[in-house]
Amino acid sequence: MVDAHLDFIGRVLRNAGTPAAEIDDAVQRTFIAAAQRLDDVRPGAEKSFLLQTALHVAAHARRSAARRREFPAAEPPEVVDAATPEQLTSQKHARQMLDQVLDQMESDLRTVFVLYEFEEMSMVEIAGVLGIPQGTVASRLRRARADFRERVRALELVGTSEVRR
Amino acid sequence: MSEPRRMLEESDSPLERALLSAGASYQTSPETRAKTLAALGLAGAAALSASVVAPAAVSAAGTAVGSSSLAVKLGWTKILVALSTVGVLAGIPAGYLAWRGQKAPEPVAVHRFGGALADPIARAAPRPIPAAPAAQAAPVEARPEELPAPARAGDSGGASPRVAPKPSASSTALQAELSALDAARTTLASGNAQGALALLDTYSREHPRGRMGLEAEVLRIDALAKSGRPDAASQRAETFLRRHPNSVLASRVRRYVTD
Repeated sequence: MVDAHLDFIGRVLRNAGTPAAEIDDAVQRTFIAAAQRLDDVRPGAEKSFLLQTALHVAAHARRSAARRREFPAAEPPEVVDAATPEQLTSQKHARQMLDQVLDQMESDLRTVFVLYEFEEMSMVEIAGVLGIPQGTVASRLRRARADFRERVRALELVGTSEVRR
Repeated sequence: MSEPRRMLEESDSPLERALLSAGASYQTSPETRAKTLAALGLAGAAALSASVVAPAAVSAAGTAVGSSSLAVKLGWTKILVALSTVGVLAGIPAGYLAWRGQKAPEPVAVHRFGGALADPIARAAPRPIPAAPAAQAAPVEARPEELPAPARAGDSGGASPRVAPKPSASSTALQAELSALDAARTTLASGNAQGALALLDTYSREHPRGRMGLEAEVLRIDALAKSGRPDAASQRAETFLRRHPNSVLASRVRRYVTD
């Protein structure tokens, strides 16, 4: 089970808002919870169960991170440094920017966005996992995409104005 | 209801595609996998089916738990205590073995959009997004799992192209750490707690900033308790819980804390 779903669960946890530093713990919590409930999980539904657990764990991690941000001294603020142009740095920046964009999205929109765009789940699958109507999934996805595009566009404009100065 | 194409397939914005690609290509590290297997206490996890994993782990813990359905009734805390015992007794070598089995080439990043991504990122990166609270919580250092990888979403495998592996110094170091902890665990399981402590001292000297440091500390606490030094075990357990109150491993050491 771990080998079959590790990347999937790690990716969902990360994209759903688990800070990178907490991924190890979050992945472990997800799989331990699944091991606990193994007898309750319908055969063939392991992935869905893991996904629901991961979304729950990620929500908890997001709330914890938000609480920590109320006390800024606990974590030093990070400034994105654009001085190093190597590809590795670009990839790191891409991840940081993605985190910034996703963290500003409403949680409900973010979840649907992540599952549809990154996990390529169908709307029917997402509706089943989240227990909401398919129409609601479609509506959240539309809003999430518009929100994502706006925020990325804002990022591009910021970059462009920096260059022009 | 027809479904729209994914944004990554239809977007004209290089920055949008770069960010979407970063999200889709996230991959967990071998270290995360090893730690997860250690936490689950799976022996030869790769060979075990999901249906036998939990009961095997729980019974191996030597607890009264006979099945995972009973395990559910016992609740989270007791389960973690049970799993923790297994983790110490079997998990670390299991993680090691599983990790070695997986030694196969760690996938290396092959970006969907190649070098074209550097520019949009660099252009947009000069300063953080205004009013972006998350920026403060984001990690400063790039972790191995932050590196884009070829495998897109989806479970294992996939049709994404992967390039040949390259030996990684960090994975070699992790393997050395796991070997050292496996030796200490085996020694402790054989009843030689002093010998295990000596091996853990060696581990600490050779890997002062080791990635399995927390696991080593849990093993040390167990070894101290079994070597007739419950006070020392309790003291270290308290320190561990103070420093890592939310760690998955915290439940393993809680039982060593004396009131």
